[in-house]
Amino acid sequence: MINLIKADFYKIHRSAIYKVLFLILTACAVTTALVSHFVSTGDIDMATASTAALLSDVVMMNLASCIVAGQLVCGDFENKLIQSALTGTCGRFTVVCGKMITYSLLVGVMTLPYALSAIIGYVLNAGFCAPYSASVYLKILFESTTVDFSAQALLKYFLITAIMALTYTSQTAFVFTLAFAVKTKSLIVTTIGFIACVFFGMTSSMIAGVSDTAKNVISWTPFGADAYNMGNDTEIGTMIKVIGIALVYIIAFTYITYLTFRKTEIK
Amino acid sequence: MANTILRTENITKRYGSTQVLSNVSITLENGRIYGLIGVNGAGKTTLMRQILGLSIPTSGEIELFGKRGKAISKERGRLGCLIESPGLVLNLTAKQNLHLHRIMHGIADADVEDKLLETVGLANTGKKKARDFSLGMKQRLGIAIALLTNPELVILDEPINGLDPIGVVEIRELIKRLCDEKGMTILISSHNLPELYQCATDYIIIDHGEIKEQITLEELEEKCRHYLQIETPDTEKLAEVLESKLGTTNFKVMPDGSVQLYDFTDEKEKVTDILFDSGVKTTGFFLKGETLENYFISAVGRK
Repeated sequence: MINLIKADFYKIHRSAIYKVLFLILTACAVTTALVSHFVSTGDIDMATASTAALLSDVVMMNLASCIVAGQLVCGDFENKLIQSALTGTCGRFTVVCGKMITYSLLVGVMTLPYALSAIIGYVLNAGFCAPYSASVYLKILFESTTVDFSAQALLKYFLITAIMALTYTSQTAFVFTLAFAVKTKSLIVTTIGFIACVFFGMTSSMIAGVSDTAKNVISWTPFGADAYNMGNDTEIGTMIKVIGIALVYIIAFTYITYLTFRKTEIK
Repeated sequence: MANTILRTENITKRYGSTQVLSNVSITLENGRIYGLIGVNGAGKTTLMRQILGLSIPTSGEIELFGKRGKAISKERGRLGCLIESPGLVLNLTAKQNLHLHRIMHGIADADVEDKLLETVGLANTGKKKARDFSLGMKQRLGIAIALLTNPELVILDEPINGLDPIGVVEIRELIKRLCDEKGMTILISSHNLPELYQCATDYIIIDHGEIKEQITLEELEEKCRHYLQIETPDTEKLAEVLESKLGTTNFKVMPDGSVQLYDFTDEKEKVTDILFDSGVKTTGFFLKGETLENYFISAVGRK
């Protein structure tokens, strides 16, 4: 499995699409932070900021994760790397697990621009507005004005950014399953995956608003509010809950993917 | 000593109501080149995919290097394959593609990349990306990838498709060399029997998902051999004349008394003149024998 992951990263390292995607995310992360700053200084109004919310991690990370899933899985079916792994000594379970690990690590890497811009913003304390989107990173930026800089707070923010990477992986884990089911059409996977992510995100917040029971149910999914509301005041118990939910979803979808892939025909 | 590398027992593959393989049983022994021959859609690729684990048989069993069931998954590490088109990452060079597969298969020896590129004639491709390769170059790189693990059994599905005549000869020579020098067993599919005839030592004829025949090169040559069939009431005299007047012993007396003469197939008049001059009565005189194509067509039961 380690060899599969190493091979994936060798290929990714040489691929332009991941680099371009990372650069786009970096530009979006910087723009998101700048908009937050300029709203706080009054140079940008809230209506413009709401439009800029499309560039925040909530939207962009779902899109990036769907693109990554499509490229990583469907791309490898197209260039027959998965076939090559299977006709070697790798079983299908190993292939699925190896791909999921690579996928999770890649989603983690893709969140880095947002994580770093938030933490740098927090350290610089340049003045940021209240979150204009349900983004943990915007919350961290905003907390730079309310939470005193300390190593403990910094450590907590690093932990929160890592948990968010895990949350985004779990939110889009079904796209990974979809990619293994569809196999060779990465555009379909990316499009359907992204639309579904947006739909789940919107539906979850709508359902959560109906009643406390509904909110409680949604809180046990990766789309629950606990993940998006993490900040310096978040208790360790809540963080463990978010991590636990994310891991359960990732493991569950890995297993579902394996069940889907176990006996499928591979062209 | 011949060891059985692969044995399939009554492999059947169905897609819905369509049966694409029907009770396929073949045996491959080490150090031989097996030509899997059949028309397009005969089931060649499907059979190869069952062996490689890319598709799971509806019924039947595969024995690979003496192992069966789940244990064959590990044994597949001793296989190399090129199924249909080669699996290449197009934005990588030939060497980078090999490097990628070397990492994937956990092969420590980095020198193997250059050696294989040399072997398949791609040593001078430098920084050229696989996307800029011709079809033939891609096929060669696919073969190099198949050979990366130094496999004991190499499965090649129509590997010379798209190659120019020189490329065809080179790949054919490479296949022979791998078998002769490294003792690799090779299963190579094609829809072209004369093409396979140049390198295979054994032939597996498949049609409509059924194995029609598995024969050796010697048996095929025997069956496709051209000969003059001479029928006479006096076989002894005929044999004596063939030896004394034509100076040949390259003939066979058949149980029905007719003689199959394997020499002088292009000199029928000379033979008839000598037989006439020697007073050998002939009741029948025919040029017989199959071409490879005709033999294949008759084997699959088509006109």
